[in-house]
Amino acid sequence: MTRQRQPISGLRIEHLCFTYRNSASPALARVDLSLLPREWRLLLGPTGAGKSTVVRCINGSLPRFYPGHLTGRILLGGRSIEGRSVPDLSREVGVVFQEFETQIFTTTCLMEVAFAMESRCLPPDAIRLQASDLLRRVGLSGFESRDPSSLSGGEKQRLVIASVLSLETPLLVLDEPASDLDPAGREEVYRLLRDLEQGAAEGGGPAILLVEHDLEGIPVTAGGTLLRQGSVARQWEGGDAEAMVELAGELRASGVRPSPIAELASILRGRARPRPGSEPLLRLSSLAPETFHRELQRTGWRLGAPAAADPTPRPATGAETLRCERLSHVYASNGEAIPALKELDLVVRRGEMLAILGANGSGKSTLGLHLAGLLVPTSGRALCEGEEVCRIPARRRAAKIGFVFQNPDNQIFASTVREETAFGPGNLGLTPREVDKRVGEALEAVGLTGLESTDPVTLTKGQRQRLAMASVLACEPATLIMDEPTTGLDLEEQIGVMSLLGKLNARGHTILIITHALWVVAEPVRRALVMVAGRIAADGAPRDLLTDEELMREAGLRMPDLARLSRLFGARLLRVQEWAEGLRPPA
Amino acid sequence: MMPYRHSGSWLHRAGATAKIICLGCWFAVALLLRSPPALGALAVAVLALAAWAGLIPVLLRFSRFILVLFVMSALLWTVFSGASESGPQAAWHEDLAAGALMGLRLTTMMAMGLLFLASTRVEEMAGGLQRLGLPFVAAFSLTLAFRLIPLFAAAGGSIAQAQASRGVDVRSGGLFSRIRRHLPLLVPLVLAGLRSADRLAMALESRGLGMHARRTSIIGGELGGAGVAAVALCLGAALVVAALALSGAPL
Repeated sequence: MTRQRQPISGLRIEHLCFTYRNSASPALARVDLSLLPREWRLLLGPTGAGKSTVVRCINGSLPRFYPGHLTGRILLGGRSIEGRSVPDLSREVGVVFQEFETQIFTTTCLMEVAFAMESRCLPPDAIRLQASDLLRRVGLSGFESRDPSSLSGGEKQRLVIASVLSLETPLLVLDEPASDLDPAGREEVYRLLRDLEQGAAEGGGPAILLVEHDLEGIPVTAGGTLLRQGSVARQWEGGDAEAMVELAGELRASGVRPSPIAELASILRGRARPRPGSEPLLRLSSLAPETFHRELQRTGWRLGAPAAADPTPRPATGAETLRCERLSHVYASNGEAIPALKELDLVVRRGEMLAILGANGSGKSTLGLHLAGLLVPTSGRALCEGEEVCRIPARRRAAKIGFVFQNPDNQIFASTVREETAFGPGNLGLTPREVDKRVGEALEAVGLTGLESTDPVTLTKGQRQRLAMASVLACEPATLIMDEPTTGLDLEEQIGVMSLLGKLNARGHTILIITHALWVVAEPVRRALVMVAGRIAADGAPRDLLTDEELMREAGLRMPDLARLSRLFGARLLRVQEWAEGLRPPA
Repeated sequence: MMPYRHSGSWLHRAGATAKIICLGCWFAVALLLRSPPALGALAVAVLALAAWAGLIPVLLRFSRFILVLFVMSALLWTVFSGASESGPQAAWHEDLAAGALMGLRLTTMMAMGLLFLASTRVEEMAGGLQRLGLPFVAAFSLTLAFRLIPLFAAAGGSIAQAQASRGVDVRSGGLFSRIRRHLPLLVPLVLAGLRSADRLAMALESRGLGMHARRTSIIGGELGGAGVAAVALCLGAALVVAALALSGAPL
């Protein structure tokens, strides 16, 4: 599968090393990578592997914006980029960075796409025509005068891609372009990239370097490079479905989430090895669940009874802790009233572990903020043990309900892990001894014991997320609400956070998880709500909801691949391991 | 947060360059007028312009700020201006009148500024400033601040909520204790601001900002016939008022 090749032009990275200033260890250590014109390549790796550092080096943003020591060579179109400025390099490489919010800086979609062409001094009439055409290509036709801040997450990301495409560069680099998006937004972005890829195949599109750490739903007609701790751990060409099946185990071990179908196929192949010389069982032409289902049937695999009969979770019987009564919330934006919650009723019982699912903008975070007392309802009430939550004084409320935000950097301010964790209990007026005890317990619960004196800035995003949880946990709230706890984390960190939440739930905490990452709720969650346009569209066991195609479509969510496979088998299995245990090899 | 209101009114259609010059003239007139009737007439004229452009709702949206500005400036000017020259008995009357006049002047100027911001996109503003001779990067940076206000406001809101969920109550207690409790809000906000500034700069340069010394623009904003007439009218009015003020006429 791996072969040596000599790119004629395109992108070529030779022995690239980069060490950030004030960092003891290099972020990149002898990275070699090449990309032919019009080629598509994946750059994979867990958090901290150096993916974003490679991206920033390619367009000259490093060391321009983040000083450090760079050695090695980067060639674009056969020419070294050394000494060239970022604007100059923007003629040859367009970059879509992570966090699209900070890449939008004008007040209409047309002007946003026009910005780069204005920088290139194109004539205004040509810019208008081309900008409208680019908006059409990314599915934003008719959005010319729209304010970008009024767009959904998926639309914003497509706008950023259109803006970068307007540079008309032969190379396009996208750094986790869908990480903050719901499944539908993610699908929109990848559909667009597939169109670009088709354009490239017809000789008209750019080469694409796509950075990712989650491969579910990603087109696989690409070679790839796997980074681990700043070095290239693996390179492969022509990453078709078969290649992804072969790589699945290695990717998972490296902290990258492989396509679940590829992972399952890899496990099944390991269990039913063909006779020497014969064809491997389960040959896959694509990683679509439908293709996999057909292949399983063709080769005689069947789903065994024990695993297929998934136990229905027991209904929660604890005392009522949270309640919403005809809760409504309307945001005001530029004089416009935007309803976020519409007369919503809900009861949460003590000890429950509940997932609130929904697309971006469906109202799930607003509901969470109300349950935590951080918003005042427009009408209706949110109650905690009979008291209206928003009227409970902040100190007393912190001891009842904790809310951990999606971005841990919104709350971290102290100079050590210990100080940060002690902040919450300190606000409750506890004695120093009690504060110390709670800090120790909270850090132990999240696995940060031993890092008490560390500066939070030096922690990884996953560790900062756990620190944010610890600082809330130290207040010992009976209920913990987590807003998108797995966004931006790699596979290992996501599994760690979910396992921690499971443990906290087992210790008696009521846990509410707000998320659009559907696969993460398959394991520990017993009840899920699906929100659509400010209302609860469905309330039940995650397995029932995630395998309901009509509901997922209505909610603007993409059914996870394994849920789609479940539908085809008439089962309710959502985890790779469950499928691996349930499927019986051919006799 | 931002006063811009999308509309097709005559004020929205007017070129940004003309609007910037006219705004400068109106500011000058407001600063030169000294008598309550003259300033009152100017305030009424601003309200009439707002009504004509359909922008009264914008002024109403910011009415609280306008009111606070009026009260604060009137009070401060009353206390610190020392306007009276007719002896201690009459002093407070004169100081109060001077304070109220200053309040009226500042709120009128604020209303003018709001009408400008409500009818001019930040990109038009940047284009207008560029046509007046400001380098593009300076004009763009200046107007970018307006664009970033909503982003920072949103970040500030999230940070305040995040700290409230850990029991921070910035509203209770004495002044110093309240200031101290704002620290957990300010540190993440400053850090978020710095991070955003870095990322924004990276995104801007990556999209070719600074590739050439000049840029083209899809935004018009040329003065045009009506713009020239409006600028001539406003400049003329400002010059007349300035001449009258210099000659000592009671304005």
